[in-house]
Amino acid sequence: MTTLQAPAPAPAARRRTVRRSAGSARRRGDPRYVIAAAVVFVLLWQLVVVFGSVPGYMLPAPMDVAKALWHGMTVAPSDRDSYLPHLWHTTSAALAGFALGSGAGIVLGGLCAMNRVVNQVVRPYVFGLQSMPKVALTPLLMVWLGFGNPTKITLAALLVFFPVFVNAYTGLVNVDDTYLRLFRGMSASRWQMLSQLRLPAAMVAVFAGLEMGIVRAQLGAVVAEFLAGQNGLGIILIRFQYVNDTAGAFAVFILLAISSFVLYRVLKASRKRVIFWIPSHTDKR
Amino acid sequence: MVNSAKSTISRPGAPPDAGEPTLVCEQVTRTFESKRGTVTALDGVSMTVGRERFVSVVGPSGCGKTTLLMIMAGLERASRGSIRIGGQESTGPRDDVGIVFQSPVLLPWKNVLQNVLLPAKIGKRLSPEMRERAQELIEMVGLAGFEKYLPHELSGGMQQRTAIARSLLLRPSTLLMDEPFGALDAMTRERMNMELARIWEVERKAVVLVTHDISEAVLLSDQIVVMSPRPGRIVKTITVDLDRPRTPSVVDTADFRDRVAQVRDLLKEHPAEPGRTDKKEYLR
Repeated sequence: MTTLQAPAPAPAARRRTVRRSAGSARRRGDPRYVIAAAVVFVLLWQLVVVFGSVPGYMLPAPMDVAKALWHGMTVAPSDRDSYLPHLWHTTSAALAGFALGSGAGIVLGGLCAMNRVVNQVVRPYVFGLQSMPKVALTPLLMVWLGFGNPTKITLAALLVFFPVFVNAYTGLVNVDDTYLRLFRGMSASRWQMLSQLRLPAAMVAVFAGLEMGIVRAQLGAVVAEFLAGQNGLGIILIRFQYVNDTAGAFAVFILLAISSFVLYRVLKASRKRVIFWIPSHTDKR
Repeated sequence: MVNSAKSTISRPGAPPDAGEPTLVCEQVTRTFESKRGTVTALDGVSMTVGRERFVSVVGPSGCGKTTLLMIMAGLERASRGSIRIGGQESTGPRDDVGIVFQSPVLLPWKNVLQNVLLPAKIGKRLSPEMRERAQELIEMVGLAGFEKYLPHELSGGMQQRTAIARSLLLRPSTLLMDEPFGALDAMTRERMNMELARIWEVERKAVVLVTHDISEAVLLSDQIVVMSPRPGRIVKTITVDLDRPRTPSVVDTADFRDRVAQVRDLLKEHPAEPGRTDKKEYLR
């Protein structure tokens, strides 16, 4: 991870000369290419379905998917077919899990970074927990928390926790040595070192963790719904599997992708506001 | 230090070296324990810096000059020996010592004014007077109009000017500078040297400047302390009695060239040992 340290001034000075070159627009990508690729892809898809004689339960035609999506989104929310309540259940559970997991990650990562004893007690267990696939905990969570939201939120939170914890911890610990000298030279207190130096310096790393976390939150919510859900997009996916409604399943995939993408973009936008001092963020850094 | 900065501008020549020197190093020794045994970075270094005197420390890399400066700053401990600043035994970082590091170490999320005010903020001494002082310093280092700029919007030279203003905020009696222009390109460095000479005429402090640039040392200093490679010892202290204020044309005088040659010869007599320039080792 290269984003964990407060930027050393000398490289920053060098970076300045390259920034905002013509390349930045190219890196961001031209929307025309994206749209063109989508059109070509959908056309090919339609051709395969029409001429490839693939059964609809294997690969639905794009138009059928579009119809299913349209129907699910426009029918009254009270209707059984509507996706909207499910979208809400999944997204809200994912967001609650995200808040819980990232909050715990930041607080615990901070405590580990600040206190040697806490660090030595907590960190081995956190890493031990991480090496186990957390999805495997779902049956146990069901026993403890039952079917429904608590299980979903907990699984999402568990998945979010680790990347945020690690990034918060390393971001707070790995502060450029000269900055620490500067603060010690001013006889700064521990609290001042934390609030004036370590916390803002760690924000870059924390956001990197949050960006990983927001995608994992959605993953956790959907997986929990497969196994322990009463509602949510994971549940309708299972339902569609029973009735061979593959078009409907595809529509849900699209919905999941869009909602994940929107959450990710919102996070990116808030990152830009919080870490205002890093010029024109590119994914490279 | 309450004496008005402005009254010192017109004072010709070097200041009188009266009374207790501002900074005294006595037999400062620093050893490091490493896997290969004990390394002596500094061996019995004694030097004094008079009030409002500009002293440079030159030596090959690895001679412990940065370690010496960090010990003066109270950021590292001496294994033996003592540091006195303003007549008091110094045991740790203190308010009346300003430090300029090789890199500007500006907080990237604070603008120029906030960065200059940082020592006051950390020392809980923010006040309207402090803000006025910061503003004056920003003007003095030539950054008027850039108060609201973030560090990444400034050039390397401007960043280091900000760092210098920050080090002067609390009116320290002593200014410690660790190769402050080492990371700048040659032309910027030359300009910054003249700027520093001018700043020092306005804000007279006892200065210790660590550098490996001989002409920089001669141009700025009243005295040059030449050090030998590890174990770092003082080879000789050379007095530079060129007229003040120093002007760019001073570099063309025979006196200037004599002093440069003198320092260079001394360094040649004590070359760095090959393989002994591992910076990390003595910074640790």
